[in-house]
Amino acid sequence: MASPLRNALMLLAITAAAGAITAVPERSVRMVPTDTLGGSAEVGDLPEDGMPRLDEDGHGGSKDGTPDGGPGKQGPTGHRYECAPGKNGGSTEKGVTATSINLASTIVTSGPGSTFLGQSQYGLQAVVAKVNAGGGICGRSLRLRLVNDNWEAQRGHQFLRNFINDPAILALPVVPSSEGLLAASREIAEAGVPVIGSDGMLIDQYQNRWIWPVATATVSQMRILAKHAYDQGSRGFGIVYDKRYKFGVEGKTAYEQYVRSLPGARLVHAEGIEPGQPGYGPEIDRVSKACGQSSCEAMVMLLDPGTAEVWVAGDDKFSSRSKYRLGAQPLFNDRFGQNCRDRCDGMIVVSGYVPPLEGNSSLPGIRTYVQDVKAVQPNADVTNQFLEGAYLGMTVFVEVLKRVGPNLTRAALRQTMDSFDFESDLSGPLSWRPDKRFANTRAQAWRMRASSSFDGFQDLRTGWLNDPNG
Amino acid sequence: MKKRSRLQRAVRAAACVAVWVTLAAPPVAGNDVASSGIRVVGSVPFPHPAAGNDPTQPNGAIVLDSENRLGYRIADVEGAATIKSFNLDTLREVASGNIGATVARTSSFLVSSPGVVGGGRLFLADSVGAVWVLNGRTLEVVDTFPGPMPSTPSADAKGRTRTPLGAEVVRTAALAYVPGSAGATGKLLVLSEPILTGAEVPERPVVFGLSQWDARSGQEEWATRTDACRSGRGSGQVPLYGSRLAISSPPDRPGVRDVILACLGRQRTGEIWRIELSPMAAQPLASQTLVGLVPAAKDFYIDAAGRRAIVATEGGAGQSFVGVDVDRRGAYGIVQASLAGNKSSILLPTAVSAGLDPVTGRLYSFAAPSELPTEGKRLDGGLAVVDARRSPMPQGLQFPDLNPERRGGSAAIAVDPARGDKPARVFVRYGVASANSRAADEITVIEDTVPVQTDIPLGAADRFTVNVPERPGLTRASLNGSASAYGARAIAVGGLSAANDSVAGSDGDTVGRGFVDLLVTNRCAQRNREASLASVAKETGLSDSGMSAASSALATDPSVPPDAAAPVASCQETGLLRNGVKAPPLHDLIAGSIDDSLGRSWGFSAAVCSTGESDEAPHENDTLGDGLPPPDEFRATAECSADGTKLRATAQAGAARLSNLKVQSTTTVVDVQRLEKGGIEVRVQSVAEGISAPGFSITRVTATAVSRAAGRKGTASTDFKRLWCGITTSNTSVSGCINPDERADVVSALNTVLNLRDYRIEAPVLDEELRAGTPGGALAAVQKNRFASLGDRLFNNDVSTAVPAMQIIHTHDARSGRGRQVYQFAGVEASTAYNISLQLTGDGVANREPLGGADEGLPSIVPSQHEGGGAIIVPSERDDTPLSLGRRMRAIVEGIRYLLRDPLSLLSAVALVFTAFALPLHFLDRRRAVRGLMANGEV
Repeated sequence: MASPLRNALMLLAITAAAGAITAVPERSVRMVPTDTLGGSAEVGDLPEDGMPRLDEDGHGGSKDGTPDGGPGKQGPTGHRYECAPGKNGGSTEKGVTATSINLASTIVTSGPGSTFLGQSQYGLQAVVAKVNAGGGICGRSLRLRLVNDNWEAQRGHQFLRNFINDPAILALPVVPSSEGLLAASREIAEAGVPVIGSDGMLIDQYQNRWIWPVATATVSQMRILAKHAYDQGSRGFGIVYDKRYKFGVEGKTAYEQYVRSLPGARLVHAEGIEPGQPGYGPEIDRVSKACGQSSCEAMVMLLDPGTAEVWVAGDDKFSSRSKYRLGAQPLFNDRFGQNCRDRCDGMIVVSGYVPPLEGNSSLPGIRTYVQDVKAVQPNADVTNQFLEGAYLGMTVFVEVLKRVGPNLTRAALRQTMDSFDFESDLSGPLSWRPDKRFANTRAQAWRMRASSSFDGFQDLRTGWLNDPNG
Repeated sequence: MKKRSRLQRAVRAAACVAVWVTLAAPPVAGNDVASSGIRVVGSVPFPHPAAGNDPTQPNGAIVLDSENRLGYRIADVEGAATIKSFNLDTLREVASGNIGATVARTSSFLVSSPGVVGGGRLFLADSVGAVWVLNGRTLEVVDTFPGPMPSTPSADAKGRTRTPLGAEVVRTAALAYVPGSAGATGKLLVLSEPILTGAEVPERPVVFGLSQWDARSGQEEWATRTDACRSGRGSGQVPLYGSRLAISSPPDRPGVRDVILACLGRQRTGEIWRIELSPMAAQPLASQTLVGLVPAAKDFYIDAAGRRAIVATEGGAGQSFVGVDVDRRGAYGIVQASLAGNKSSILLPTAVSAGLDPVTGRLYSFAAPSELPTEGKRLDGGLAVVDARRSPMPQGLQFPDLNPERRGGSAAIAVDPARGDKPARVFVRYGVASANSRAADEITVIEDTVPVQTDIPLGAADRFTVNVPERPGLTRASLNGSASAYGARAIAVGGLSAANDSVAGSDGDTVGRGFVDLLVTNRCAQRNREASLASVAKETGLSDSGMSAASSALATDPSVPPDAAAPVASCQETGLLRNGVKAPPLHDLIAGSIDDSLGRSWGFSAAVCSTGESDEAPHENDTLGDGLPPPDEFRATAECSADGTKLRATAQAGAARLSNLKVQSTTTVVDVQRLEKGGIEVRVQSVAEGISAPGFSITRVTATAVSRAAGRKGTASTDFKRLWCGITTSNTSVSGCINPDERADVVSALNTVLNLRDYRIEAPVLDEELRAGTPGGALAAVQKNRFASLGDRLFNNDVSTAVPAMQIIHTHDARSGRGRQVYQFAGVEASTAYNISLQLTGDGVANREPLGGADEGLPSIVPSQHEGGGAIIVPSERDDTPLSLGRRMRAIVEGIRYLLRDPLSLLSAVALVFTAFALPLHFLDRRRAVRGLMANGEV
């Protein structure tokens, strides 16, 4: 064969090889969305940086198109497990079998907390359905048990204690009911039961080495709100807070401390109220008296939506008393807006997540979130930020399960979570380390719009506001 | 070696180029708002009139002809209108002309008289109804079509006549151009309206006429009356308000021509109508459907392509835009543009202008900043950009920096849609900054590169389920069944004071309501109220993770219990007669066996349960005050089974008065259970008996909803039935029961009677997509239409998604706010989601033990990136049946087709073939050569 022809053939061969090789990833990228969060049939190496990220369609898995979860993990008996059905090592930990991963969580579907936490269950259910539809994780499907504790600490404590002592439960994902979670915190740490993806309502969640919140902490939100109002010119600050539930007390303390650290700013009045009361006449009078003559330029409402609705309904000066009415994430809630209506027009609320509103709706991860949730509950209020947070928390948990792979243990979960980074369209980048639990320290500000009805939330285009205390 | 090295370098370079070429992907369309935006790119001069008219008045309108790249600016000067055209790309002036009549309805052109382009012509209706026809390029007047005036029935010089449609003086209210097809000339659709002023006159019918003229000759082809806005009470202050007309085809019936008509009805309630045109000139209207009612309307913008109407409103809360979906028949969002009112025909800083992009449906509005300091409200003003085809309508992006002089709006905004890579251009004429200043003497041209946002569709709802029979240990089910219901429900929008009917004022206000508000500023009377009898809460449901239920004999909005507990203190009467008038708190809401005028406290706690629990209400300590228990007829139960397979919630209530209506008894029963054969079922039944109101009564209203899903093909379905029994009105009676979904004639007859009392009775529409269930069996639901229910939320304060068997609305909207009493009976909602997943084993489920027939393979899960109005997209399924010869051949052909899908792939495929077949020959040749050399001792 003539030399030029041979060279031409070689060139063609290499070109073909390049084309053929690059054609494969093209197919994989297109197929990635068809593989759900827990693709178990394929095994691949971790990306170089070891960080799972959502792909263009908001799904999990490494960027090279393969799912996370290293192959051939060595089990306690020295056997090498594989991330595949029948080869995953079977019962590697309490609550783990060859075919299932058993989980439990407490939710709030009644009582005052249900007004903002009530829909969180759909976030968990959506992720579970999605994972199981994709074949589970390393051949194990997820089994999730949810129990309503009415946002009561004692009731929630008892449920969680039962789960902790249940040898058939591996971990407690999200746990939307923060009061019971606080009550059971010590037992969770002692038993070493992972709680991944919690809502960050209470500071304890950031101090327990077995809890990894995804949310911006209430204390961070309070400082962000105070700084935002201060930057807009406010110097007189007020707060109405929930004095029964822990999130209110902690948030108020953080708010107070931060306001005092701001030059020229002062906390004019802090009114602690008992939630769930039929009316707040005397408390409203006290606020009106203390904040007379517009001295409370910025007023924060740190209440559950139901309690806030009753307060606003009885507070004729709610709209006019303060230049800036501010609300923490529990009030970023469609139902609250619908009940508050024009009195809440202009009120600023913050969220540590990316709400599925305005331009965010075109983000692939946001679209996936909305569609996943609607597939299990078509009526779900996807703008509820605790629902979105629950979906995100459960997604993080699933990503960690995938990262740990077949040899699934609580210790491995903890080890992985303590060096875990996660990126998605649902929030800013999240990062956990052994000495860093505040993975999310930012929030976005939105304005409630209402005329004679609640019109919706308007993006203030502030971008991410950082917790000034970092 | 040197030669080989060069070859290697060349090969490497070629390989790198090939890899780079192959990897280079086309740029993905960006959707990052931060990298796009709004910017001013130019202006078109718009000088004020030199003399004559008040120089503070802008007197200008903008009309665009995007197809011919021409824009027109129209000004009224001393009884005539001057028109100048400009090039839409260069913004340079092209021609000028004038007509001998004024064309503005208002001197500020905020509500402009109709101007429309088509067939290379500009059609302008003047203030007395005639339509002037100008050559679009030269702006010469080529004709003047006579208007639809009943006073000029005789033919004009060209023999053109107009059919009189009413006795009133009429004018041309709106024009729409219909392009001709297959050589036919275009048509003009003409909406005529009566000129009415002042107070409403019930005995004088209002007639909105619709006619079609040949756009070339001006000959009338047909003319007819419409049903639109015939409430007989006029709109008052007509010059301030607009009407609109557009032609559109329904997406599912492309050959059909619909007219979307918007006009003002009783007390300035905006009416949106969908009128289907018939091909028969003798009966030109095939059907007329009222698709939306919006209170306090002022003007309209019709998005013909998007099948939506945007209603500009002006009420007590300022100026807003309300979206109405023509096909889903309901409002879907509201955006407030200004907190200030602008009830004036001259241009004030409070004016708001607006316009629509006809291609994207994007709404632009321009306003000055506005504030209500006493209420702590503030709007930034400037240009607002709202993607008005989204449901709910978003609050949009605000660009206050574009309005540094804090000017108000002026003439209606015109939009030149994006073309290719050229972004949309928005033509805005800024208004005045103060009452005595001048409007801008130019049109500001703004380029918009903010990406248009669309709704997130429901998506492939079947993507989480596998079509296989359930087997313990082999499959798992994720499920969710939920329900909500009520026996009867009352919502008082605007409070109880708004329930007073009255003599209508000239401004759309009601004397009675204003009177009450003035005399008695009673919070209990003015608060919005809501009460539900025999209700089951929305959180009631069963899933694979747990269950809960909550039911109440009586549930109310949060403000009712405190008012009931301490009516005098809570209501704080502060009006002029505060010392003389007692608060009417719960007494007006609930009557019969509950008498809260005694000042009893609230005592209707809910029965709740979680897995393994049961509960019954009233509870031991429930009291209406002084230890008095709630009446026996008011009870609720909740039972959640210990095995997690079923729940039951019931509620019943005795006689009660819901404002103007009474109901004798109500009952609701909800059952949710997992089915033995797999799947989940939700059953909801609700009954309201003995409904009576002034002028009519109904013996019984029932609704039954069943939803089921089992995660397999064809298993998701629903049943829904509602009955109205024993209907009696003052002059009619219907014996037995009717299904209102099948007897539209009865519903219409009832409305004819009830309209006289401002009541409207209806059977609200269901969400048909969810009702049908997904083909894959994952999802089904009986609930209100997802989009129409947004309007219920906005205007009726109705946030429930349960669909009532019957809804009666008593409307008293007024300029001072909405006044509506909404009564709903037998509301039911049932939703089921069921997804089957496989539990894979080491051998693979399908190989080890077949789960079913040949059609039960795994679904191929399709990414849910489809766009479109909430359509449920069904994923295709992979076919695992054995390959026949034909299928094998098809597979080979498909494979070849894949390899040859583009030139680069073709190159790759050819090269692969060579690699496979030629390389071995090459190496063989090389080996032979090396052997030869070795044999010759050269190596």
